[in-house]
Amino acid sequence: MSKRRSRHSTGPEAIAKAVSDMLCRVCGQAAVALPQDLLLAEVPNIDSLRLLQAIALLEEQFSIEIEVVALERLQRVRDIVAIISDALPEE
Amino acid sequence: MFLPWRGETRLYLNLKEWDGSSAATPLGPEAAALSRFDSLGENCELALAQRHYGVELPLSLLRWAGTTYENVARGLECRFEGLGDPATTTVAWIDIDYRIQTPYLRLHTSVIEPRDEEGVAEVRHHGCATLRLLRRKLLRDIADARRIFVFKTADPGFGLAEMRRLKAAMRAIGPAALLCVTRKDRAEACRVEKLADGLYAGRLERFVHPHGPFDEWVALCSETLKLHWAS
Repeated sequence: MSKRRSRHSTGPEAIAKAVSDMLCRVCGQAAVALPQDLLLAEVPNIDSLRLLQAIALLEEQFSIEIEVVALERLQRVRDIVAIISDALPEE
Repeated sequence: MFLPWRGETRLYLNLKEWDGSSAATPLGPEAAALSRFDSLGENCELALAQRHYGVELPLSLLRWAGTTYENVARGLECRFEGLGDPATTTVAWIDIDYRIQTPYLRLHTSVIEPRDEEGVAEVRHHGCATLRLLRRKLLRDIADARRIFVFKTADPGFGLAEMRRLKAAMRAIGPAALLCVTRKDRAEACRVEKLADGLYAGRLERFVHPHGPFDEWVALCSETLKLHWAS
């Protein structure tokens, strides 16, 4: 897994906002702060393609590559925040 | 296409602690068998069979894509090099949605309304990023060998040599097994033959994309699992 320095703020709140914004964007929804414990299946208009698309675009945004085995375990919004955080270099 | 959560009973029992996990939810025998397989093409018939029985796995590169034997073989042999490169990826409106076209496969998008030039460029950008992620996931899935990959084709020219080529290309990536499915008459339907270590040939009497019935797929996958686990 490659870890490169992100061009974006990488604090927990910034990552959570970026994840929430990206999920809303790919699902064609107005940006809202999605609850961290929200089931991904309950994000309006979500499907498996949009979910992977959101993660792929977050990889671009943070200049990272996530560990793909984690894709098998995604259940909630906070799980995406976690895989992004795990892929970021330690400050 | 998205994985539905199936942890309702566990949530009821442990409301505050249980996060929900489809992996922990008991599956029926049909779903349990089908969940051990993933598609390598040529189309989404296996995915539709899985969905019919309630199996929704995380998206994989070829689960919902359209492709050909030659393109899959070539892709595996070069580890799908260049997949997601904007220089070799095009977007076209076909019937009901935009499709991503690459040298290896065609993929539906979720965009079902015509877009202007800028919008189409965004569809391509999103598609390329997604394809690069799905390429990494496929290579990892083959290396991890948690599921048996299935290549299904109606091409009468697809035979033993072609099956061995696909398997050899996979073996260079990882140890995942391969089930090649072709169409035969009723006498040979749902039969599976082990051709080599991790290589199986299966037959269906009918291909039923897109509406089913999918019972032959259940029988075929169950028989393959028996052979695979016995070896």
